Amino acid sequence: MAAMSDDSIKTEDLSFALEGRLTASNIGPIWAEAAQTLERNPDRRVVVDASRLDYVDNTGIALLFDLKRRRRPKGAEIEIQGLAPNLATLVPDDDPEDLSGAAPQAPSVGLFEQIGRATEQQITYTQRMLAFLGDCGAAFLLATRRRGVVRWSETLSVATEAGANAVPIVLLIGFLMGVIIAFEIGLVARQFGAVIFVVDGVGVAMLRELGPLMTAIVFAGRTGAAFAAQIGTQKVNEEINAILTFGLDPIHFLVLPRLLAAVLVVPLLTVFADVVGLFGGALVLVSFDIGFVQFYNHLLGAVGMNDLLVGLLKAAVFGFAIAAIGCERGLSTGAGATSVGLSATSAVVTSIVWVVVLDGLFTVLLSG
Amino acid sequence: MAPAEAATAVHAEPAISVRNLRMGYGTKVLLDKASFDVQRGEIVVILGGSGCGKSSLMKNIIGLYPPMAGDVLIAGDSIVSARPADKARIQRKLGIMYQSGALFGSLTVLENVRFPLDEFTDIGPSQKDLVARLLLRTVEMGYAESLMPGELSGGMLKRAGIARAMALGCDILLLDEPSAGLDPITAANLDRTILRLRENLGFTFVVVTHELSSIFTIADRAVMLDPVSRRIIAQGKPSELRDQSKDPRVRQFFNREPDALPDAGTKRT
Ligand SMILES: Nc1ncnc2c1ncn2[C@@H]1O[C@H](COP(=O)(O)OP(=O)(O)O)[C@@H](O)[C@H]1O
Ligand SMILES: [Mg+2]
Repeated sequence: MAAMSDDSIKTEDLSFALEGRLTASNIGPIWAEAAQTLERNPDRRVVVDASRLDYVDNTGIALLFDLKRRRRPKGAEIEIQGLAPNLATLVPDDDPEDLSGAAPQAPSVGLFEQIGRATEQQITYTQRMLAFLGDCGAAFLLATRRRGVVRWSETLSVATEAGANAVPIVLLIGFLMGVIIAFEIGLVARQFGAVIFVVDGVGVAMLRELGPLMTAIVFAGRTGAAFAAQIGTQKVNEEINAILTFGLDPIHFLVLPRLLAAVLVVPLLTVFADVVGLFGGALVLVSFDIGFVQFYNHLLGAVGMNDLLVGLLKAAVFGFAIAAIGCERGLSTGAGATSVGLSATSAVVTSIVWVVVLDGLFTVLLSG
Repeated sequence: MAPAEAATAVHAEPAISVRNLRMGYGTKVLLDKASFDVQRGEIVVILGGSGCGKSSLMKNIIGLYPPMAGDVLIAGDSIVSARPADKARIQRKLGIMYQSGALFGSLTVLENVRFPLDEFTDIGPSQKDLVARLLLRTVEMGYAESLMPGELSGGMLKRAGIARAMALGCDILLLDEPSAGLDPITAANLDRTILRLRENLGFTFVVVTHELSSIFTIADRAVMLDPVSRRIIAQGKPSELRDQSKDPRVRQFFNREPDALPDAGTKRT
């Protein structure tokens, strides 16, 4: 063990000894005490007796270096005595300035500058997103016209993962949505003796709004995030660069199959959500004394084919937007594992915002 | 090797002892009946063609994967049969640089090197920074301390990985291809650092490398793996293996000769 003895005679030189083994496991308190002693005695000469020092690891070397490099006024120097030559050669002589001082931190930014920067970031991001959507749309149109552009096997495997595997959760959420709105509207409608109109409410709400919306939110969380993470990892591993240098277009190669799969799969999932949602509503309405047959007959009068189609159109657009955002976030991933995580999160948040905005646009356009 | 000899006297048992090891993945065996010791203060290089299981051997030695058979002793303690708490204690005796560097992507280079000190010691913050900076300077990475791992080249990742492996002051260091991707000067400096640490502090090194010049500079002993027979086909001083080995594969490796062309033999007969 190392030990220190403070020489308390003021006029004499200060001296302390470093002994035994100085390693990462025991050096903490010794180093702290040495540093304190030196700071308390800025104008006394200090003699460090290192003759009984047997072994140092790199932390011990750093301690010796720390003693050696300190700039002190004349007459108050630090002298290390008796350091074994094999240890002495490991302690560097010079002190370039970059070894002292705190680790550099990002300069702090004022509130206004922060707001300005965030705004600017949002504007450039939206511009980039729109340009990317344009590219995707063009690729999409090209794919519908020319044969051999689409990698169907990839599309199919993406569709399986994003579609078939999402069926259970979509069924569950669709069913619960139907149950919940039937119940909520039912309670109000019963006060007015208008329980039969709950069928209209459930039908329209499921087919036009909740079916596509809830499916899109599930899709954004499951698949949009996965797209961003997959493509982001490929970006980090330079797979995207490899694709580019083969003269291939990542949009065709990676994005298009995902877009196609999404546009096919989200409407399909929405149909599932619609059906179980209506079923859930019907189930609740049994407790309001409306049988399945009555529900069915009234439903046929209350909603038409166009309600279903509007819902499916929305679903296709939502799917396109979510897949495009997921892919774009993936492609613009920075470097390192952390940025993949950021991309995935950002893909989900951005997707949900866009889905809601698009839903609003649909409502305005279709009501006009 | 005077200090190293002093160290051997204290620790009679070898730093690393691999005994009758069989390892692989699933049912695929990569190496069988492997036995070798690494003495305190010794520098041993592990050689073998790409993909023959050098990195996997490293991971078996440090206890990341359980071997299929056999045992690995670190300073006399089995890392294979150790209970989890003991295993962690044994593993902390080892400083490891993985082939990819394996830096933490969310931390800067300096923070990566400081990480083991943050976790396992009570050294003050500015002093930890000093330790980490000295280490980074040892591997010539001082200028890159505030970069993120994503911003580094392959050789820089490795050097930062070496600095991190040394941070806790372990005196047994395992380095997986440290000089791959380094320019000749930096690689030679790294060799010198390895030799100085061994000379002055009696450090033990296990180094996976293909660099012939580096092998002849640093290695006391070489252990050569062969993917076909899945055995250790040679152990010994590199210069003796080069000049005296009876195994043509070993001589071919050390003399850096290509495989014979398929038709070369037939023409001559
Ligand atoms: N995690 C793993 N699972 C299965 N096989 C692996 C794994 N890691 C490596 N391998 C296989 O083990 C063999 C040896 O790999 P490795 O130890 O990395 O070789 P080296 O480092 O000698 O180049 C290779 O054939 C590789 O395919
Ligand atoms: Mg390897």
